[in-house]
Amino acid sequence: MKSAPLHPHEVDRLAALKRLQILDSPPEKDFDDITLIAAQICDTPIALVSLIDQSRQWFKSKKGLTAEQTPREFAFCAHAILGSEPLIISDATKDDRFADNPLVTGDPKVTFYAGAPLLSPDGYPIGTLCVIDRKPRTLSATQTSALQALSTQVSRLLQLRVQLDQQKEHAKQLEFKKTAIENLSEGVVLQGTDFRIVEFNAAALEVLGLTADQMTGKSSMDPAWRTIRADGSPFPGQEHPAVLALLTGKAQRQVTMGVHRPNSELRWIEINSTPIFGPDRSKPLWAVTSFRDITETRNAKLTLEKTETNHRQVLNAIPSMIAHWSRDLTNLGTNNACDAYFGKPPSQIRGRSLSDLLGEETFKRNLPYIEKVLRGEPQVFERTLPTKHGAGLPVMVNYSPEIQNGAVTGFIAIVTDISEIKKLEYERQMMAAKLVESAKMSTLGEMAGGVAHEINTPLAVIITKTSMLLEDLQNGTAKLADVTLQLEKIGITAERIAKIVKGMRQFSRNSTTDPKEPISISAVTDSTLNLCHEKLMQAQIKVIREIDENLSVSARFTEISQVLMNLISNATDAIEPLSEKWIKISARKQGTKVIVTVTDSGHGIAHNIWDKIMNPFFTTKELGRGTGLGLSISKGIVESHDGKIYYDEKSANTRFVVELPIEGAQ
Amino acid sequence: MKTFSGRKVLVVDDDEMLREVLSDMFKGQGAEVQKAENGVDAFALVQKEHFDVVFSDVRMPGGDGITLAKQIAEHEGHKPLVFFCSGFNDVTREAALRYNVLKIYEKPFERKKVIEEIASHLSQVPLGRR
Repeated sequence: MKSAPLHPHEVDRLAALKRLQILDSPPEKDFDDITLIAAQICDTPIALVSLIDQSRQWFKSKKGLTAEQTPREFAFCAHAILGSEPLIISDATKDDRFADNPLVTGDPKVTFYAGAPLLSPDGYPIGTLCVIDRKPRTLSATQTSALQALSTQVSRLLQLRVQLDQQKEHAKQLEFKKTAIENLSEGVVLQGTDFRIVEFNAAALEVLGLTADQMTGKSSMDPAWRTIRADGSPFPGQEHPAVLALLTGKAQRQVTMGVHRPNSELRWIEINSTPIFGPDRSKPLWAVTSFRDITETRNAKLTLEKTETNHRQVLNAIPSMIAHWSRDLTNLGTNNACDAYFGKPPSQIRGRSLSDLLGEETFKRNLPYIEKVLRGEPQVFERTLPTKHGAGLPVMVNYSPEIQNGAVTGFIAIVTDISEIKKLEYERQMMAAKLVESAKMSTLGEMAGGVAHEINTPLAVIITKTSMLLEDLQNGTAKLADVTLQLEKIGITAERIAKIVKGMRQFSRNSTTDPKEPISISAVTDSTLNLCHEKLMQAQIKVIREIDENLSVSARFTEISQVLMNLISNATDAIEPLSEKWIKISARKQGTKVIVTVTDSGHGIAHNIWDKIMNPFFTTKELGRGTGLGLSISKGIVESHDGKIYYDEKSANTRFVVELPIEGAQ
Repeated sequence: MKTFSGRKVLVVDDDEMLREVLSDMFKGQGAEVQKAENGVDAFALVQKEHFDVVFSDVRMPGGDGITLAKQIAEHEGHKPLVFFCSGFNDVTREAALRYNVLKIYEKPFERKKVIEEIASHLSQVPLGRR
């Protein structure tokens, strides 16, 4: 047996066969009709449309045969495709090419074979139309030419089949494009060289607010469009993208245009226009223009831009420095005050690291706060910022975490200049100190006002005695013993004056910075009472003194005296109109405390002002009397001595209690 | 003869030392002197005895000078001449004058002037009415 050699252009021939896309396709009536006709004309039991693949022959149509395919090496048709004329084998059993071919020796017992080649549209023999009989025979000339004609028809069928597929594909693509254009949300129009619209889709009508009749034939030059540019200036028809595309042959991209609908509603559209050239490629014949309605996005964008501008202006109007930092501590934005502090434009701040901008030293000091804010805890602290000139800037720093979807993504730092506040605070402290001082002097004036006059009595004694002594001496009536006695009395009286003056001086000096010293409660009480003596006496107030003599506290003498005088002064004012007038001062030890009480013959303080009496400027005295600061200052003093001062609401008489830690007790 | 010879003076002051000084002062002028430490005690003495002069402090615990002057002005018996000697400058002169206080001296006073002026007033009052 001799297998057929391969076709000289086997590779191209196989490629041509593949292009027909027929191998292993289902049977088709067109082909089966031809094999039926071929078998009838040639009077054979078998007729086939056989296609020669790389290693097989496959039957597109088979009359009188059941096999789908056979190996190529046994294929008669593989021989037939090598010539242009039909191959006719009258008796294969007597042909040494086929005598031992299994298709001859076994089923289907091929004896007679006549096959006409089939040509692909590009001329390659891809198979045959063949007729087969199981006995030796021949074909008449008529039968042969009919077989040839039929094989040509098969070739035509194959070609038509491909064309039909291509047409289907083309139709599908057309349908796709048509549907796609019709369903686009973008408007699409086609214009000719007269700039009139000849084709358009539904979206074009919708976007422009036109009916199909209004749209058809409308020109870009129609002034009714009332088109404007993004900046609001007129957009003349001769500069419309479609017109430019048609005139210049260049595609126009992303042109923004405002167009008025017939109802005068302004819509913003973004336009692309592409020219379509004629066969000579020299001049555009058409322009395809697509556009989408960007009114909403444009408005949203404008609103957003406006909002952003507003926010920025608000941020820039804030005198505090504001900076936005990402989690990895790079800058995301700043306000003007912050830019001014860094001395750089925002472009040189954004994207830079916090440590870089702040300097390593300040950064390290702030790091503990940064770590906390990045854990989501807001931070507030004070800091003195280094400045190029001067002694630094006192600031209040505020870190607020930026939280998105529950995670800290960065933080906002607000740094506020508090130098003015600091200055005011200092001034306020100074004022407060002065006020405390003047309140003290006011109490002194009230209580010890009699003191100056009290001095007048001993002065009268001294002056009168001196005058009488002098007279005795001048008259020579002086007796030594008497002079001595009178001088002694003058001395004692002068010391009385000295003691009063000393007490006043001690009380009135500014003592707030004195160190605390061990002081005797008894001594401070006496000193205070001395100053008040005249006033109490004039008011006919009896003083009861119940002091444990050995008590001492670590304190500033003058301040404790001030507290006592304030309590005595208040008591004096309160009980002066009463018929029963007494003030009792007691001091005793209780544990590690000294309890000093000042009780008067009054009957307590009205219930509704208990909680107010320690407040600054609260006073029950008439206008012009009392500063209203006495008790609040006393409270401050006692608390600075780690003690307590309070109104004893359980006492039947008006009683204030001062508790001080005993000297040496901690 | 001394200016205050035969005259009886009541010195009223709560300050013991000053009482003593005033007493010495009037005694030095020949007066007979009694002392009281407040207005109440003083008025008790005025009711019992005949005084030519009451020389009194104004503010005193247990009976002030104004009350004393008022009591003297209003009582039925002999009315001594009343002088005030005040340690304060806030004495209500109006009240003092209403009760016939002749003069208010402020401490520390001038001894000679006090003596002269009181003596001048006394010269218009005859001696010896008891």
